[in-house]
Amino acid sequence: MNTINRYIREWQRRREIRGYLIAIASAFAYGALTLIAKQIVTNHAPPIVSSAFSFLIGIFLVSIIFNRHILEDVGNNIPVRGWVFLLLTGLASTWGVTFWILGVSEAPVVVVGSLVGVYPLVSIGLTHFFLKRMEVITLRTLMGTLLVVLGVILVTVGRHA
Amino acid sequence: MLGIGFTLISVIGFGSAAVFAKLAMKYVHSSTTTFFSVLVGAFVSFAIVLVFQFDTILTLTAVAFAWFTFSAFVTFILGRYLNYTSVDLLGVSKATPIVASSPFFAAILAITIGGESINMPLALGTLSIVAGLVVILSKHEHN
Repeated sequence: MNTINRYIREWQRRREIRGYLIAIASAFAYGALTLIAKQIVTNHAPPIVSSAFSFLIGIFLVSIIFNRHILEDVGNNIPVRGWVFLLLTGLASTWGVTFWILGVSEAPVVVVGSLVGVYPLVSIGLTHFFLKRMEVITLRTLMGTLLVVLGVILVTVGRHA
Repeated sequence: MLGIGFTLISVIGFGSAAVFAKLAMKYVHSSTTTFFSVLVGAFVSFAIVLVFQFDTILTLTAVAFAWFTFSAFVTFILGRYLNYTSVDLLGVSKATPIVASSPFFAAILAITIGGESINMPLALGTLSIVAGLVVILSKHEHN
């Protein structure tokens, strides 16, 4: 029994470390994206046009790289709830990007960038209400998130000072 | 004021996307979630462009399309797919603040590659983000 428990704990620890590394890699990619976006918007196309074409090309890239998983999931008959959540995921992220672009066109980047930095708190609030049975939000996570949000606001202000 | 309103609406979109993705990933892989979120995004954003910016499409160069491809790879394969995978592995509350620390990496790249200078708010912000990440990443006791 002890061996099984130790094995499960080790498996959870490895899964957690993998998750942290992947999250940091994603943050780095999004960070690099701001430099790429600046290059595109300055020299090639307006934000909304470049975003639309990136989405279009993104469909092909994602379907080429992950075709096996996508076909497997669709072949396994995704329940209606699954389709609804997939649709809502797409709509929510598109909604975010579209209104962010509109925000940047109407207000200074420093204001928009600082306000957008607050979104993890919205995620945590929604998690508390809608994912109660799946996740427990610890004080440590909340404190860490507040420090990250404060830091993002300061970095945004600093970069546009 | 309108810009702030738009931004607050976008915050709700960004904030809820990870929660919906977590719920979707009860049924499908993170890669499938990425695919359908990109598909929905393409429909909506392309419809907007066709209505409001159609003339701009006709002026785009081959170099612009090369940049769009690069941007799509970084955004959707490296950014969004890894984001949803981390949400799947860690949960929304742990993964989202780490992914949201991207301005920290953007600032480091802007200083090292872009030649931007460092100032007090930037230094304090960097410290605050690092402290936040350390708090989130530090070992939890499992009993």
